[in-house]
Amino acid sequence: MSASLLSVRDLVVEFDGPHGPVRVVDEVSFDVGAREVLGIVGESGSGKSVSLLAVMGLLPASARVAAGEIRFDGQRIDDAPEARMRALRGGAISMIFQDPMTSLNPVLRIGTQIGEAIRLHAPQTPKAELRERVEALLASVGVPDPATRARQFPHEFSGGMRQRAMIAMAIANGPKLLIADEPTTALDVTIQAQVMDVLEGVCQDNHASMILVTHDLGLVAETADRIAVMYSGRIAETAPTDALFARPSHPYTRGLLDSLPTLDAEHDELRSIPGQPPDMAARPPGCAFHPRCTLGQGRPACSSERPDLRTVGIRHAAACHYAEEAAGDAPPREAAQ
Amino acid sequence: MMPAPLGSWSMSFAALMLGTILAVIVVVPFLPFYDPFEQDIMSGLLRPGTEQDGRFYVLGTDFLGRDMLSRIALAGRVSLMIALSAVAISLVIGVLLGLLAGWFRGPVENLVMGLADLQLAVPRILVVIAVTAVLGPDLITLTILLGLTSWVSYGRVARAMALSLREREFVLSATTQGAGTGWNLRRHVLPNVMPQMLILSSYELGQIIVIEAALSYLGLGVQPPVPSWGLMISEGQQFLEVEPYLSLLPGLAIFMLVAGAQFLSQRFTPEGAPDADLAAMRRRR
Amino acid sequence: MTRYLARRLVQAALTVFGVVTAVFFLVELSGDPAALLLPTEASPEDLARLRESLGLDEPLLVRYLAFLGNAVQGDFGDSFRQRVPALPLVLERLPATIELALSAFLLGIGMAFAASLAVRLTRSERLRTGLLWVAFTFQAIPTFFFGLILILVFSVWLGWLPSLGRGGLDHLILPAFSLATFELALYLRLLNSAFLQEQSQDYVRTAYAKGGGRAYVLVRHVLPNALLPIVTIAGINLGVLLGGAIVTETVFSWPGVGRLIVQSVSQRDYPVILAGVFVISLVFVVINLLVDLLYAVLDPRVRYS
Repeated sequence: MSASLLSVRDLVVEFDGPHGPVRVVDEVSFDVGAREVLGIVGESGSGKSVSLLAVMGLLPASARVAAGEIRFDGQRIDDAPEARMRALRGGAISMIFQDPMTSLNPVLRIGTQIGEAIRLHAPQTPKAELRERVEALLASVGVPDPATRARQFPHEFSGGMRQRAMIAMAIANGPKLLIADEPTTALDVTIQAQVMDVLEGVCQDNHASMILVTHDLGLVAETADRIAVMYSGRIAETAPTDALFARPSHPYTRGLLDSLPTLDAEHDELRSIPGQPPDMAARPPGCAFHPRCTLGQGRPACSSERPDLRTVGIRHAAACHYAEEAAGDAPPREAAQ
Repeated sequence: MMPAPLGSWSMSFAALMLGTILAVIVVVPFLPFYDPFEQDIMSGLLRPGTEQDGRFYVLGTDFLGRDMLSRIALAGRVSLMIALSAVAISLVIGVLLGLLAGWFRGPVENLVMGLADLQLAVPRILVVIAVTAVLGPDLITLTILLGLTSWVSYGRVARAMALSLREREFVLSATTQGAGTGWNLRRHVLPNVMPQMLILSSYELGQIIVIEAALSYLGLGVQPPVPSWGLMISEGQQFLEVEPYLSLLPGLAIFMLVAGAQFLSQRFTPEGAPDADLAAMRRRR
Repeated sequence: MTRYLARRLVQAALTVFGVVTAVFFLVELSGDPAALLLPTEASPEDLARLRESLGLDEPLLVRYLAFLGNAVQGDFGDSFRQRVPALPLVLERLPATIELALSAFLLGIGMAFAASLAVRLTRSERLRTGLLWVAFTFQAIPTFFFGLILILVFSVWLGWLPSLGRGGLDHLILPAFSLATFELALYLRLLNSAFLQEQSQDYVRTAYAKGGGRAYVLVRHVLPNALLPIVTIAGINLGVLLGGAIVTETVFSWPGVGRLIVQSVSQRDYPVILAGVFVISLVFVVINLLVDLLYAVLDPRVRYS
């Protein structure tokens, strides 16, 4: 793990709340190795997007990195000056956002917006070369007739095409790390697979690593090398994808797996996790998941002691006092559906 | 529409201004020296705080020797009466037309919005000027005219709100239970629209006072000998170089009333509430 | 786009037609202008002769149609007082009004833009509150009264600037500034909320993620989007601006259409009033058409729909 491209250690992000700071990301650590795809899975509001905005240095004004460190290519970037971050953003690290409808500027042409990504990092690029590169980028993400499409406006693009344009923008400067925040959530199911293929393709072509943020375990199953499951601002479990699916060691992960639809007739009834994720400003004592946990009911440790991440297998860690028990009664499952 | 309130002490200040001018309007007519009409050339153009013939003039006298404080108080009463009546007229018209437009859509909406466009094509002041030119200046005419020409902002906001309210669950459920248009508008839409309309009208009140003052200043509004702030400013203008207080005092009175009303209207506007200007922004689609 | 344009043209024509019709019938309500023009001791024969010469003896509908026919040709009749065609009289004054209104508009919106950009760039809460204060204060001061204060300070007390009439740039400063304050107040409020609204849009985050700096993102991405609603408001608010111009012209004895109309009112010079109202509403309608076109240029979503 020494050669990780991105290394996040004990990251704490706080938001200003009405009654003082609220920890939205609470001592989160993860690594992304070269050409690795890390999936970060969790319900909305679990802190997954915020951790990545922290990596980008794009936290909203009401939030700040309160502790921990973020290293990219071995160098700290959490306290880097704004000029260095500007060079990184859209350069070595780029990000794709959830909603391609609103993430593109409605009054600027698609080509202009992609070209802008290039020009912000290489202002001297001649116009003709810029146009060529923009068209090549659009072609590489599977947008047909790029010369015409580059001159169109976002509202003339379908959702899937817009997300392709967003991807083209993100890979404009050959990034080493691509952060995709729910890249397919806003799209039609039929388009999702296509866009995922494009994402995987551009990662391979650029030899880039990727962090894929999603609430959909099924989506990352096919793509990710590793998965980190987040719950209420903390990492509940992290493991190589196969290990996570084969031996989920946190009750929350199990709950997520059980709520996945399968083709298996025995499991045709979808189970959901009862209850709601806790309010970040008023987390329950002990394990944040215990009020919803079937395993922890009535066990004093769960409601008094906060479980730390501990190793439960090869490169496999879970934050549960009863991880072995959680893993033990898990029936073996296929990784990919 | 203001993203953040302007601070609480500024609200107190606004309330103080409004309270002071309202107190002048209400209380002064009951004071013993109150006489807005008595002329006395011998005591003309007395500066504020002057005593003459055993009488103390708090705000001085105008060029005809009339007591400024009395005149400012009476002018305020006249202004307020005009503005309040005009606001009431425009509120009723605006809410009615706006709700009908938003509720029925189609040709009704087109007609109402077309009327609004027509209304906006001629400045309010110009309409009043044109009509005054023809019918002659008259308090009642002026009031009705200001009322008839000020409905557009209520109409716009009411329409926008009715458009969204008619799709809301409680209206739909009432409809499925057999509620008719009249019932729905009266029982569901109107109560939701009214608070916003009242806030809007305190802003409009200020604007109408300003317009009335402008018209009176031009000699097309309130006619002498009835005092009006705009008229007093205009009468004082010829003495601007020597006795600027003649114009400044009534101007200050307008400012206190209008600023006070508008600050308070701001205070009660909820964040993200529909706003006449913003509603207008979205109208063009 | 062409259809949209055609529809707007028809709308505009209808508006002007409506205004002219309303004004005509209004004048009809007024009674007999001939009686006003002659001294009270004039004989009924004199009166009849004048009525005939002014075309006032025809039936209402005939006069309305004749009026419309003439109006289309730009003929609003002769000024009762000056005995010359009314429309040229008004048009003669139009440049002065446009000069005043346009400079006030540019001054007001320019100041508002500069101030709002400064607020966004410095992110100073104090500056923002201060400016909103200024906006609210100006909104509560009648334009004509503010004009008077300007005259008092800069002409009477300091003696720096002339207070009356039209001439060089020095004559323009006070009236334009006084008229600009209301514009400033309006656009300061609107720009503030427009910027704030746009600032939180997703595309802004995208622009930052591409490596754009704060000033770059503000000018290149936020500004064009914030401009859209402002353009619409500017068109609608034109009526208020022109209305303000009427009063401001009187305060500063500015020889524009507004002052002419106000003077004509006291003289009951209906043809001039009529022509004046026509010209001002025409200006309003034409500029609003241009605003719609500008909107289409700025917003591709309108341009291609």
